[in-house]
Amino acid sequence: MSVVAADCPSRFGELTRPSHSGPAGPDVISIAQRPATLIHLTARRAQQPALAAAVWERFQLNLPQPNHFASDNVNTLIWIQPEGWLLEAPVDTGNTLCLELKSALAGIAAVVDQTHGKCVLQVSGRTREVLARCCRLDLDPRIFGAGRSAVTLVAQVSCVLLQVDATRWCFDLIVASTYAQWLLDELQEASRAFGSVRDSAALGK
Amino acid sequence: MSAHRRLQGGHIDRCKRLTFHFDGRRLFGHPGDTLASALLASGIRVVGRSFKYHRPRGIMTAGPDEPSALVELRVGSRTEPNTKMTEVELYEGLQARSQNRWPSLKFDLMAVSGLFGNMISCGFYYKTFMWPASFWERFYEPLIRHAAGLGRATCLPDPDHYEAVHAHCDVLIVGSGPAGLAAARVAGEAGARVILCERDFLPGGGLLLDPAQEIWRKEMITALERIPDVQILLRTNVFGYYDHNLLGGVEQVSDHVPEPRPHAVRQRYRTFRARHVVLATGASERLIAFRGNDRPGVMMAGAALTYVHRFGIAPGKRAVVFTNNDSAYATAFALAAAGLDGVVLADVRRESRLAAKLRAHDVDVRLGVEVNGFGTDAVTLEAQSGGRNTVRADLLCVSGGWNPNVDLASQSGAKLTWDAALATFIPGAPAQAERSVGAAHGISGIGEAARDGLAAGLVAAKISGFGGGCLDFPLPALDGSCASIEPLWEVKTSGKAFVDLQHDVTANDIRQAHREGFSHIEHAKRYTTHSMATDQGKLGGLLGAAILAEARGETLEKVGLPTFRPYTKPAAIGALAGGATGKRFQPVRRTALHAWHLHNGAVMKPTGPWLRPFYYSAAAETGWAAVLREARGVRQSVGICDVSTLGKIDLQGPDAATFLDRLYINSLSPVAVGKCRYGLMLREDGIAFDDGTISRLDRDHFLVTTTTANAEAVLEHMEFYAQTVWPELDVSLCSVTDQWAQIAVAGPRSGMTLANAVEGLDLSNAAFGFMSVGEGRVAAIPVRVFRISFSGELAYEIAVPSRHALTVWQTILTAGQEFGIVPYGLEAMDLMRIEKGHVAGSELNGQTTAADLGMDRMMKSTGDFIGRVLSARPALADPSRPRLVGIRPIESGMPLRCGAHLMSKLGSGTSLGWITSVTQSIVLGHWIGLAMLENGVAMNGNTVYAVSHLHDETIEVVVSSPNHVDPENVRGRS
Repeated sequence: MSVVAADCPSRFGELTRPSHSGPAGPDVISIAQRPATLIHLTARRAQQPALAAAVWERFQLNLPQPNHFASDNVNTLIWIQPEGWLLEAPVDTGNTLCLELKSALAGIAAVVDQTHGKCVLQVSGRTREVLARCCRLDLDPRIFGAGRSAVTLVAQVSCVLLQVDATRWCFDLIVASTYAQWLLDELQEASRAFGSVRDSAALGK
Repeated sequence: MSAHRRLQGGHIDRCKRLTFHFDGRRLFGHPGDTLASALLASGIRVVGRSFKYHRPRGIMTAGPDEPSALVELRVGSRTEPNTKMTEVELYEGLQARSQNRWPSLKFDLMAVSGLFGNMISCGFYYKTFMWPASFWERFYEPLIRHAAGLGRATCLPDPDHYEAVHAHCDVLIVGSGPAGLAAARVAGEAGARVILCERDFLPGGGLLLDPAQEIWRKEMITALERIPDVQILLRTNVFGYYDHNLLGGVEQVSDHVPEPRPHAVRQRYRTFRARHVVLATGASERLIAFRGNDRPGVMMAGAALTYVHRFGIAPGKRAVVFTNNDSAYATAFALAAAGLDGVVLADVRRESRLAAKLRAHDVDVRLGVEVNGFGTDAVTLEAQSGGRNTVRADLLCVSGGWNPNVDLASQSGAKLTWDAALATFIPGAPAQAERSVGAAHGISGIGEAARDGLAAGLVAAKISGFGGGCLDFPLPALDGSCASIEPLWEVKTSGKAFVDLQHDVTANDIRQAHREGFSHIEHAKRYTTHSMATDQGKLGGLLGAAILAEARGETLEKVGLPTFRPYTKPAAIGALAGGATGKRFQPVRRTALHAWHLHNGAVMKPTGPWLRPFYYSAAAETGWAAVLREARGVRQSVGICDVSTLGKIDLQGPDAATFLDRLYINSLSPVAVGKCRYGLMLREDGIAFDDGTISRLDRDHFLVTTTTANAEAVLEHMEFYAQTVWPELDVSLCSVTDQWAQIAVAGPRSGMTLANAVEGLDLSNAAFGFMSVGEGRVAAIPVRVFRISFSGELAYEIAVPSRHALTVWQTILTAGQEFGIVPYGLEAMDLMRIEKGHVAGSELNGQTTAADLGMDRMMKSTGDFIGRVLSARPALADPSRPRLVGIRPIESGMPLRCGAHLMSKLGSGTSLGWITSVTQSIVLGHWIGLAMLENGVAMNGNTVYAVSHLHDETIEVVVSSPNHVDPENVRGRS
């Protein structure tokens, strides 16, 4: 079925609060929500090569290896499970992409729309210190460099974590939309000692 | 400056003065002091009373080994009992109180040694106070609690914040003595990521006791601070070593200030994941058991050296040093150099090559001599050759040798090995990627330790892929070999010779434990409480083992030590919890309509992680009024409810129908596209697992709903079977719980309401009958519509992409306005499902079978499904098992109690079952319930007693069918 996403109301619209009164400075953590189309692709049995070919044809992206993502800065493919990838694409008002993929990948992959099921949070600033307070992974660029991703717990909830820019410590966190508010609150708590700024425009206020 | 702080040097800032209070007395110290050093500098000797015997106790050590000098620190909600004053960094305004004394420290009425002391010998919990049993609560326990024990915890909430932080490194180094510093520098310069933890507030360990090493210490720290990938964590005790080189520690961020700075945490719990670990944890000096070895004035020799060189204090006026090894000679030398008169060194060894040098500095060195008692300002010395004399002294320094701090190495899995030359246990071969270095490995000497640390640091860096570090920094000179120790555990005399000061365990207690059969080291530990508590027996652990070995007639090597477990030092529970307390204890999950619920008077109820509307409260409503109003609104007209929390699983693939047939007890493959069916699944063991609806969206595409509580468990269950048991089935599973918000619209006018709101779908009974599924639009937003009912009324559920939930919800509210549509919460939903006799979590409780729930007729006659075989087990197939029934009180005004037991006659001790769910029926006008009752079907119409012991209530109830309302399901289908 199709979903007309004429607008894309934020999960935080009603609840965005001013950031707490922590110390402010140039290196505080900044959190913003990025509207996007999210589609979960799972290859049918023995159909991964066909899926890879179809994805290449449509996006000119290779299916990334486990714990990696591939991106051309428009579309991003993230490995999230064995034989399963999450596609992040620009906001698609007619939901045409999902319909197109369902038709193109019939018999090759299960196509499930998760645009409303997940939120993408962009985190920048002192992310290393803040994420160390809610995530067990070693995010040092020597270990978890550009192009790396992980499905892991952040603040006790399952997230997809992407190292977007290793030199500037920019991460994307993709979280279940019902846990998005919790994650936002926890990131803010974790940045208590540094201060944080919510980009309220980007959070949909 | 006080009379006792007459020395120069040390790591004390004499230019600044700090004021503090001890037992109400105003005293002074300096930055760099611990509470212990400041008290010693103020001339205070007695700082507490002992655990059982209330003997006066002084300061024994200068660090975490301290058994006696415990205080209650701070006041009010920050009160912190059992804090070792040897570890408390002094700050301006510090307040401390001595513990375990009544009414005062100087005059303690509990210090009755005779009768009472004998009553609490070892194992007293198990013996003296056993009979009569009735005495325990009223007499014995209050008596023991009053007499024995440590400080009191505050009952006020903790005002401070804590946090947990994960750290990763190539090389983790525990301890910043010469070995730790050298390891950190060489690994850091090689390029490895290094974390160096030091529990003290000053880095340097043993270097702080040797003024000659100060230049090297400073140079090393400056060098380390220049390496970007070296992190030095002070005030950080690593308390545990777990599998896979995971270690835990607590950083005392704000314990050295009166209260944390704004936004700062009090303590930080750190977990370390390291490729390689270097344990440079140093060594602890051990006590010797002799009469009076617990009296104020007894101090470990290394601690006395610390007070002189690090804190610039003379810890006494006249001193005797009692030793069996070379290390205490430095103490005697330092005390003499500090100007103490008539320092006597009593060495049990008959010869010592250091004696001459010491004698040249006016120390009276006596060889082949033991201390056999310490009384008021007098030490009794006894020569092995015979002859006894008494030396006047207010300070008795003791050194029984050194035990490497092997706690972490032992926790890591390394076996301990006996080192006869040192008469102690040292860490054996590593079981994980770790190495003990320096004193922690039984090595003595600053230069020796530094070289050992350097070698370990090089290896650790190399293992982590960093080689070729340039070693262009100098190391301290080697000390050279020292003479061997002569093991001495106990000087046998009459009177109490302590092996564990914190729990008042004597050498005789250990022997008594052996006589009574508690001869294994672990049994003896528990029976005597030896080596327990905040100091973990650092001073006397090995002593107790040695005395036990002698009693058993075996070697100390064979007897061994009790198991080392985390925590090496006490850790505050608040630190371990980090921030996960109160509202942050567990994740909170909110539906897309959360804000609307809050703005419209919903009282939210946590159900698992979810927050769900319990009911919507109007201004004047109290008690059940709101719930009854909501349920009536549904039964009489139409209501709307947020059911987004239901688990939703998208199932696709050519084998999806087959997969479902194997999962559920009923057949699902015959369900037509555009229809849905109720399904029940069992666990492998035949017990009912979860229920829900299965909708066929397309030939190979299903949507499965689960209960809210089991959403994750069901998905996991399905994934397990798809991936491991039936890999031949081509199915794909994906949770869409968050993608879709789900809105229930129920009541006789729900169809009319939706007819006003839904476009593109014919909702007439003929076109869209009971259990139909279709797609339509609400406010131009595409939705899925399901005709299913939990309340028993004509009802629909609308699924909407969750960001559009509010629009759709409000459109339906507007469409239902003319029918008086009412939002209803969890409690009204529960009320209606109990009326209808639908099961929920209270009945699907992990103990009931399909037959127990009256659903055995749903089981398909042919074909296998999960749980089929084991559900036929005799015990599960027993017809007399409790079965789901309905109940109502005979007197219609009486309330029912959930959890009440059902009995056939008054006073019967036999329960026939229990009440699972209760509510006030709006259809019937009285309380009704669901229950599990033995032979439930046959009991229909009978009367039983519902006994709630919790409420002390017994009422008569009538057994009925669970379907209290509309058993033929006319309403839902019409």
